[in-house]
Amino acid sequence: MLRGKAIGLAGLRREQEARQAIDHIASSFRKELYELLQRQLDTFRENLELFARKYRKKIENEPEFRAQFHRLCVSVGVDPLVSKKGFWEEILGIGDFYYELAVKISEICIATRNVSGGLISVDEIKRLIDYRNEARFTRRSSKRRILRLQYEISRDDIERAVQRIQVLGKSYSIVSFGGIRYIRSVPGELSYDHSCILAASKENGYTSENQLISCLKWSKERVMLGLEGLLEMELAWVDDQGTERLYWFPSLYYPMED
Amino acid sequence: MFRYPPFYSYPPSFTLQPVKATREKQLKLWCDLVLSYCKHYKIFKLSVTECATWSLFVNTSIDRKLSVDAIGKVLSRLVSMGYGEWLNKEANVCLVYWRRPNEWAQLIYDWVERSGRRKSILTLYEIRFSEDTVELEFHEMDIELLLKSLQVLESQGKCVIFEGKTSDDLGVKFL
Repeated sequence: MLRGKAIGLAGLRREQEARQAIDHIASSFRKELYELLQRQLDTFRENLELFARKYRKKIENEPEFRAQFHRLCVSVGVDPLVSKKGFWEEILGIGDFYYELAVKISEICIATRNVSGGLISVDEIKRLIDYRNEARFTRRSSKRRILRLQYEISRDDIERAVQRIQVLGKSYSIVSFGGIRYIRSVPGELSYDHSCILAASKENGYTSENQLISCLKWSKERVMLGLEGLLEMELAWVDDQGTERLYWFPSLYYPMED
Repeated sequence: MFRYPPFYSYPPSFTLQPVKATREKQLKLWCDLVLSYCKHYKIFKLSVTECATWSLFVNTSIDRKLSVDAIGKVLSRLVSMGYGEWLNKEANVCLVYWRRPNEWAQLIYDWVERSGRRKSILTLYEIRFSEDTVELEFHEMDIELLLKSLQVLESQGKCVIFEGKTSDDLGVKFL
């Protein structure tokens, strides 16, 4: 930086000119650098495309590999999910894959919303989809690209598909309570106590007062308050035909269609 | 083979829910099941105490059953939605309208026209049991329901019902 009191107007102008010269060099440098990076990125993308064609089967069949590939794409600025009509869609059919999974998920959410109160765990959705896929394995596959058994679905896939639905409208979201990931299809809030109760019931999809008292080490009052809240929110149903009153949570477990 | 819906395998479905909103959903699910079960097995009438032992309301695989009280509430809901009618409130017997009387009336009158039976007189017994109706939906249908359906036709001016010693003896002339 130019210093000294005797800068004067000439000094200021020199400073300005110098800055402009630096800016000019910097911008043309930036431009060159930018173009270089663009070319490298394009080359990278081309290589990614070749990679995708070569490993198409692996990407389709292995959820772990698919997840890594997806992260790789996103890191170079390509989102296979969004480019539905692009060449990614043609090479991998991946756009379609997530779209169809998203449709399946929303079908399940709508079908169970009546009893689940609009909250269903990601594990439960996966279980229901796996069950349907297995049933389909015994039928002839049609020409249309439906979710066949060879497309093993991971929990990651489910969450990514839900993100896709979110692009279309905000009604679906992934929420976390007490270490369990849920898809929420209606608005609502769960308190800390409520989520603890759900987490404690994850194993069987149901619980009882005594079970919660011994497992969470809470007082009877605290347990009852939590259970009553869940009942009011239509997230729990009572069952009085066991040895003691049981509380069932459709969000965690619900029988499937035959 | 009748296929039960998923909620039939869900234990809490068999306990009447204390929370109103949940109970509403529950009653609706049960009403739907009762209607499709009765339609499948061509059941026109339910007696609460009698049907409490049917597999419709008893799921042995999960060891759960709907109480007589709850069954009464389900049927009351069915009636209030217009899908049933109490014949005898004390004995808790009700007609189940998996098809409503006016829809039955239409079916019967269509058959009357098709088979050229206008202007003829038939007894209720004949309508229910004649060989000519074997293929038809209303063959062997419940006598009370048949009477109700014919009464609909009567109110529409499409038939006249005559006296008889018993219900089956009642005659009806189609116009």
